Amino acid sequence: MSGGPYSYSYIFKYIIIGDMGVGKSCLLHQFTEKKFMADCPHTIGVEFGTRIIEVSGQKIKLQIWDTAGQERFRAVTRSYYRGAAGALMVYDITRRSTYNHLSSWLTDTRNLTNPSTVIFLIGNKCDLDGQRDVTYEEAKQFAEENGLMFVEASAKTGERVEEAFLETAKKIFQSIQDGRLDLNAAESGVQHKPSQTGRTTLSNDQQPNKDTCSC
Amino acid sequence: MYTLKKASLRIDESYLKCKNGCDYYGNEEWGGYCSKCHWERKKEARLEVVERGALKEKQQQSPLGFAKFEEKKRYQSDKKAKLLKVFAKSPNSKDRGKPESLFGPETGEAEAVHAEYQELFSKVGAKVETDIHKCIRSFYKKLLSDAENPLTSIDELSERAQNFYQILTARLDEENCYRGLSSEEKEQLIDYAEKYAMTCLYRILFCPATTTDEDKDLYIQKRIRQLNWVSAKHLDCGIDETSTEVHDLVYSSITELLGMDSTKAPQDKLGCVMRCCRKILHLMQKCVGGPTSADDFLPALIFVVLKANPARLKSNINYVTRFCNASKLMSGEGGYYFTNLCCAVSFIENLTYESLNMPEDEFNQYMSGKIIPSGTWESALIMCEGMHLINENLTIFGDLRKRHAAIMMEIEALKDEMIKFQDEMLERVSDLRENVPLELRPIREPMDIDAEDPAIADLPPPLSPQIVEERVQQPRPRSPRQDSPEWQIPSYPDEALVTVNYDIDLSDLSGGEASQADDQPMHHSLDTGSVASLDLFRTSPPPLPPSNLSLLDSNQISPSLPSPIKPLQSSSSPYQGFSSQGWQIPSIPCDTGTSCFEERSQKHLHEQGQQQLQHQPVQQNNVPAQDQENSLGVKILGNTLEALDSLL
Repeated sequence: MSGGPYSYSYIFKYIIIGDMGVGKSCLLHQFTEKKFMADCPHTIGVEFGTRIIEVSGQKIKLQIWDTAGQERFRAVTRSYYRGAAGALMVYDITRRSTYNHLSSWLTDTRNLTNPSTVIFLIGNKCDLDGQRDVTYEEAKQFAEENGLMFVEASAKTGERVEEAFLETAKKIFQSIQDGRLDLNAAESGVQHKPSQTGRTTLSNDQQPNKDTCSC
Repeated sequence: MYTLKKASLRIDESYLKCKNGCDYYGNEEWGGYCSKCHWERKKEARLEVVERGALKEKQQQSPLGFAKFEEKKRYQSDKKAKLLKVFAKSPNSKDRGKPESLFGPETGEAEAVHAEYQELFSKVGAKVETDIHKCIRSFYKKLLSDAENPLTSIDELSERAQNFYQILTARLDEENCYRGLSSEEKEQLIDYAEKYAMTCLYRILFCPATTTDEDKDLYIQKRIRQLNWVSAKHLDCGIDETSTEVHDLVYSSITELLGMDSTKAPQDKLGCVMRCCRKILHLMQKCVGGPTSADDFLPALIFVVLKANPARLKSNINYVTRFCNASKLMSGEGGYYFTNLCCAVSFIENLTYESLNMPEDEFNQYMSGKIIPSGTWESALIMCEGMHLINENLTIFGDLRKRHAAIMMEIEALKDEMIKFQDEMLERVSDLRENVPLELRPIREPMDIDAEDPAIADLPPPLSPQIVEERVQQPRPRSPRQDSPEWQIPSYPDEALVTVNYDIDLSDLSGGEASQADDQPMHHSLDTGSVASLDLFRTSPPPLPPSNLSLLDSNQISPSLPSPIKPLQSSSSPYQGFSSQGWQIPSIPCDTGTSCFEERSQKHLHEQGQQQLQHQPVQQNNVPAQDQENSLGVKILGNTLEALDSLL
């Protein structure tokens, strides 16, 4: 459908950051495909994912950039942050070291994004509660201290993955409406696409289909 | 934790200081100078460039002057066209032809860009096309004049280009003539404007003399050459350097990356990066054996960049960064991959022994070329190419050998099966041989007998002189057939047939058809029941043959043989005497012989010559029986083979 890619009025750019192996790609894949990555080995490359969601009746296209988490790339991966409207900071609840690195990730994010960038903390692998190494309370406190939104999720089961992405989008949309986020700023990470009359009706039909078909 | 590590990056203090030695800290972006010194230097450089540029301009005056003249001319004709438009809408084609020739040396390429978007313009209409060309033209002129001023920095030009994109985007949303276009078409129009303008301005905007792009290109090129020893292992990326398939994929991604330098429009360069990265993703999927994440992707991209050493890498990256529509660069797949490429390049620029997790002195030795690690990509490529091929071929041969062995085993199995099958078949055939002849005889004989039954009723009278026969034999030697029937007929009607045959031959005089028809029953008897009759011949008349032989060779044979034509000649006269009997009998075969077998009778004529051998008939009799058995066997064999085939 020719109107397909334009059936949204905003584009938000997200980045997913966090140590290697915390499940960044899996979270992204779970969100865009609604599948756990290991279950569909045929998937080629998931670093770049998009999905159209709806917030307050507005269609928003989320563009999510996965990043390399290796320490040695930290210094050079800064250009990822440029123009990100949302940053999902991920750690692994079963590996304390990934939690300990959060403060440096947060520093990077704060330094390299604009003040209106929404930062969301995700404790991944909450399905492995038996191997938990970081308590919920501890992380919750860290999030509150730094003014972050926080949730424990599981890319494997899909638990609360949607919530993390959607809440971030809601917060960004809120700041757009409040006027805190300047749409015209090049690095806002948000692009406004005035949707066209006649096309929105088309996209309205399209959206529910998209939701039902994905498993 | 991380911050601690970052701080531990061992960089000498003096390295960080301004090169001018003014005690301020320097910056790599400013060529190692502090901000103050950097700007001073830049000013100087610009002045230098101005001088150089003036020289250059002198050299290039003629083409430039021509371009200006062209511009003027275009402008005038454009005016004219506008005037014309007021009165009558000028035809589409006329408008279209104009803008291409506007930009002197790049005319050909600009035309190609225009042709690429022909479809779009045919959709959006001439009005839109004219307007967008107007925008491009004004931007082109402005930028050209700006660029001619050597004091304009490349960043200012970049800003101007970005402004143009933004203004154009706004214009597309506001202007009347663009109303009704879909956002997709609008996006394409912006793309077109960008591509068209940048293709025309490429020579001015790419790696301009006012920047240090070229030096950076040379630096990174040298750096990558120095790092040629870095293997996939050093980067912790899962590229399997020994697999041919992986090699091919690495090559194709390298080719895509190298293609970046040969394109002119920023989005085309972006496209090259995108294709390269998609191939790397594919490659990583092959190596990792599953979906890849950014954790795997970035090292692989670094590896590919290191192995590709793309020409004018920095210039290309800077050009795209400056002049590609920023909104595109910051979002979208192309932007994502381009960001990754920037990261990879920046990693290579800042690569230290720490980033490769190796001891400092080892790293230094590698960098200075004192030692060369074994198993590098290049050595795998150049030195061991032959070995690689041999290895590849060996594995192929090994595979072939395995398959060959498997095939041989299958062949053996099939052979065994076939032998078994043959044995089985032989057994069955021999079984059939025992059974079938016994069964067949009663089946077919009755037919003959039944057919001839009425005739047999007539026969007894001629047969009655049984006792006489022995005596008669000698005086009447030419009719041994009659002799044998005299014993046999009561029990074996076959012999009766034989006699009948004989009689028919006599009747040839009356009708040829009859004789032909008679042959048939004859065959029946031969085919089916003759074995028994022959047995009788063997058992009961052994004393007779010698006498028969001695007395009459031909006549003796004829009884059992199908065609007694020969005897007919020899015994033509005596038969007339028996005609009374003969006439009675022929009527029988006439009833029975329903079909004509001319061929057979002819065959029998041919066989006459062979009939002189007494034992031949015996053989002949046996053969058909065997044939039948065989044919039955063959039939079964055929069926089973078919079954086998279907099974296979």
